[in-house]
Parts: sequence; structure tokens; C-alpha cells
Amino acid sequence: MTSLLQVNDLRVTFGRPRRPWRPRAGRVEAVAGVDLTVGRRETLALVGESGSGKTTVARCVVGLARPTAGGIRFDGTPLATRRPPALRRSIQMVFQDPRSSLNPRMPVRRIIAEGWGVHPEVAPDGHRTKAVLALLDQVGLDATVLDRRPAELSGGQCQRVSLARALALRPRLLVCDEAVSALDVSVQAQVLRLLADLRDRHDLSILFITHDLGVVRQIADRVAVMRRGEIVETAGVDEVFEAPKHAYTQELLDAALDIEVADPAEVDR
Amino acid sequence: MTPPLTDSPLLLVEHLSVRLAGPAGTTPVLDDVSLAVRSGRTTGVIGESGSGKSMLAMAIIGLLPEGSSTTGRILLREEDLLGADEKRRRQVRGREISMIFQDPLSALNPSQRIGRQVGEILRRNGSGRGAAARAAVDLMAQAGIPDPAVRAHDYPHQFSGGMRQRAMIALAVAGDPALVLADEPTTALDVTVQARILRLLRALQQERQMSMLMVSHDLRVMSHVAHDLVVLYAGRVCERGPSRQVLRSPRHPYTKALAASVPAVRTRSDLVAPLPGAPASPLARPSGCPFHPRCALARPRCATEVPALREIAPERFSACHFAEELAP
Repeated sequence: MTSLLQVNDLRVTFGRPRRPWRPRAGRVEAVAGVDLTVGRRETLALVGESGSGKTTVARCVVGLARPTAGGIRFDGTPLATRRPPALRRSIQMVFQDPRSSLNPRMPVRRIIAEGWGVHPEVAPDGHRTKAVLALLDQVGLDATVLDRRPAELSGGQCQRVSLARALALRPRLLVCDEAVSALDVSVQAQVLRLLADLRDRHDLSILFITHDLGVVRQIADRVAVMRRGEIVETAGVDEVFEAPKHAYTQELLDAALDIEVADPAEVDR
Repeated sequence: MTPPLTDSPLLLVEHLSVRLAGPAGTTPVLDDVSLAVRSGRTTGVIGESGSGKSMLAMAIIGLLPEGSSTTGRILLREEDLLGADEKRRRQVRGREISMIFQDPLSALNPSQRIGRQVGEILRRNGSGRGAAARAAVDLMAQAGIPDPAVRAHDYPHQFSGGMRQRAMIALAVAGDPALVLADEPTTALDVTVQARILRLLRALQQERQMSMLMVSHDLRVMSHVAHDLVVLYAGRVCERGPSRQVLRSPRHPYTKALAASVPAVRTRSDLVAPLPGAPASPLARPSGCPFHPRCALARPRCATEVPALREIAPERFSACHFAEELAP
């Protein structure tokens, strides 16, 4: 069985050469030959530090950035930046900052239903409000938010609306770019739990981009570690955390902190 | 009624309440907060959004927004800063208390060279121009900025995020303050950079016998730097005590839930049953114990009676009616 998403030798270069006789000067290769796959119902975590190119990979997958070279295949079909509606609908994205990714002037009911105007094939036949309510229920919100705008919601509620908006189009792949990083930890735990539930209930594949290794360990099946535009290691989640192969993965793990509870006399002071 | 605090601390905050002016009257952001920072030690203030943690730091350094009202006492070496005039507060700022902000780019002057900004504080404290410039380079070296003599001539935009935070730290320690306030000093940084900045702060603290008050939402960071921990929820102290004891055996349901919500890196943990709801907003603080709508232990009493912060074991304080039930 082929993977749902296949990325082959993806390259993205930003900037243009200032001097035509030195074509490489002034150009930044943000993504320098990335290969990855996301299987059906699989969660792949793409981790790396700022500037490693992980967001650029995500933007190419959803079609918000144009690859310089390389190929992306979804369910066997090659993806260009311009895509037929069915393919666009199948890949949805959840962004880090829910406040800037939701239209501030729209009430929740319109935010969620907006995609149905573009993709009538998945629009509910009957009463739209009913369908919106069903979606809100799935993400743990109720009818009280229907007519509120994003500014009247908390960060966690906004992120739930983002998820409901994505689910409204019945996607097969969800791309989450630091989708829980801006949330308070108690709310972060709720959204992670919700994401895991939705994944199981809707047979979703998830490309989960984050810098938080603790979150990765909880939610991912496999992990790809990215540095300076390249993937240095891809492996199953336990393997990456318990027997990292690449020195950089080890460095990331060493730098990541856990809650230290040992008696201070044993540790420092 | 005030819980006694161990051996005369450098900073003592007693019954501090702060109200901010808003379009619809004043909003309480801190309510009866008491805490201590011991000499040469770090007190960590942990809280989620709306807990009032940043306002606490601002109240201590005296930079609350205009129109805010404050009651209680903030004692620095037994001097009440809330009673001091603006002239005295300005003297205290920078020399005795300085601050490290989360976003160094907005705290550094973008149009002045880094070396000059560090030197300016030394000049204010009486150094000559040349001596200040040399000392600024030394401080930048201590803050771990490579090639400080050269980088002193750079502007903030020429520094990376981690280097800017180091410059900010050099600036904060330049006046040789007794107390440094740090508001989420590593939140915007990558993990590898964060680890280096935390090491630097610890080294500087030991070398200079500096006291620190660190404000953060990150329990992982806190557990590595704080000697004492104060847990804030909706502007009130839930729990207070020696940091690792608090984290090992929390005596407030909120601390317990917060610690359980942090995913572990070194051990495999399943997704936890999360706390319901969102952190209480200071604008709509629930009655009684502000945490009761989210608390699994809540009983009718919690909705009506505000729990006082009380000593439940030596050095351990909890503001939960049922703290004893959480004892190990």
C-alpha cells in the first residue's frame, strides 16, 4: 500500500540572485532536498528549531508555497501548486496562531461553513446550522459560540474552531503547524487529546510540525528531525527518543527539559 | 495571618493587590499575593495566561500601567517600595532591581550600538566613558557573547535571538543589581539556545550572589532554575514552597493538574485526562476558590468560601480547603 503523502527531494529556494553571474549568491535554500512520507492514519511529527525549514515544507504540502524542485504526491497523484478542488479539500491546515488564521469579522458559524461554498460536494444537504453544530460538538464546543467572533473566544476555543473548520471539508490529511504551541499547557492537553480522538474517528493522517519534543512523544507514530533544510533522521517515535542515530537528534534531546522533581541536594544547590 | 517566611529575605511581597484601570472601571489582576525571594536564590512564579504573573513583576519594578492601584507592601531589604517616591523608585530600578524581558528586540534600543547600551548603565553608576566601554565588553563576554569587542559595535538587529537575550542579560546585570526579574526569558528561544541561556543565568547568579524572580508558564524550565515556587491562578497564590517539593507532591489540585499536563520527553507518557475549561479570566473570576469550576475535588464549600493560603507542612503553603487530602 502506498503512503497517503509522499514528498520526494523537495527543494525551496528563496530570494533571487542580485548578480546574474553569481546565481547562488543571495539565495537561501530553505528546504534542501526533503524526503518524507505520511501513511494512512499515521501521525508524522516534523521537528526542528526555528529556521530549519519545517514550516516551508508544510506550506508546500498544502499548496501555500511553490517548490523550486522535487515532487509531492498525494494518494499517488502528483500535486502541483494549482490543484483540483478535491485535492485541495483533502489537505487542510491548522496554524499556530488561531487569532490571525480566523477571519476576525466572521461569526463562528460562517467561519466553519465558508469552505462549503467552495467545495459544494461536501456541503451538507439539509440544514447547515445543524451540520455546524455537529462539527462544534465534535471539537467540544456548543451552540453558545455560534454567533461569536474570534475575539470573543479564548485561544483554546479558537483552535477548536480552526479544527472544526478543517474537518468541515472532510480532509484526509491534516497539517498542523505548531497548532498547540501558543496554548496554555492545560488547554494544550485538551487540544492534543481532541486531535488524537479526531484522528481515530475520521481516519485522518496528520503531519504535525512542532519544536516541542514532549508533545511529539505523546502524539506521533514516527518522527522526522529537520536541520537547515534537511531531514537528518526519520524513525519510529520510540526509536528516536530512546536510540537516536544522529548527533543532532541527540543534541535536541539533551537540551529538552523535563520537570525535575529530584531533591535539590541530589541535583544542585 | 501572614505566613512567616524563612530567614529575612531580600524581597518580601506582602498582601499585594493590584487593580488595572480599564474602559469599564478597574479590574483586579492580583489579589492578596505574598511571596519572598531569598538572597542568592531564585523564586519562580508560575501561571497560565490571566494569572497576573507579568503584572507581579511589573508591580515589583514599579512599571505598572498608568491608572493602576496597588495595596499591600513590597519590601526590598525592609524598605517599602510602594511607599517610595518616583525618584527613589528610579534609583532602585536598574541598580538594585533590573529586568530581563521575553522579547529583547523590543527592550533594546534599536538605534544604539549594544556596547553603548550596556555602557550607559555603567556610566550612570559613575564610570568614565572609556572605563564604561571596556567594562561593557567584559560584561558582554561574561554573558557569553563571542568576540565581544567587535560585537559591541553591532546594533540589536545584527544579533540572533539568542545573542540578543545575552545582550539583554548583560544589560540587566550591568548595574550589579541585588535582584533580577526575568519575565519568560527563554520562551522565544529554541531549546538548544534555551539550555545555554539557563546555564548562563545560573552561573551569573552564583558568581554575583544575585537573587532572581523568574516568571514563566513553563514548569519544565522552572523546575530547573527555581529554588522556591509560587503558583498563581487568576491573580491569587494557590501554592507556595520549595520548588521540587511542590512539584514532587503538589498540595493544590491546580499545581497537580498543571504538572500532569506537561508532556514528558524522557519517559513515554500517554495523553493525560486534561483539565476542563480554560484558565479563569481576571475579568470574570469565579466566586470562592477561583479554580473550583475546573477542579475535580471541588465541593459546595469551594464555590462560596475563598480559601486562605495556609501552612500545611513546614515551608509548604496551600490555598485549598482540602489540601490535606492531597498529602502523599
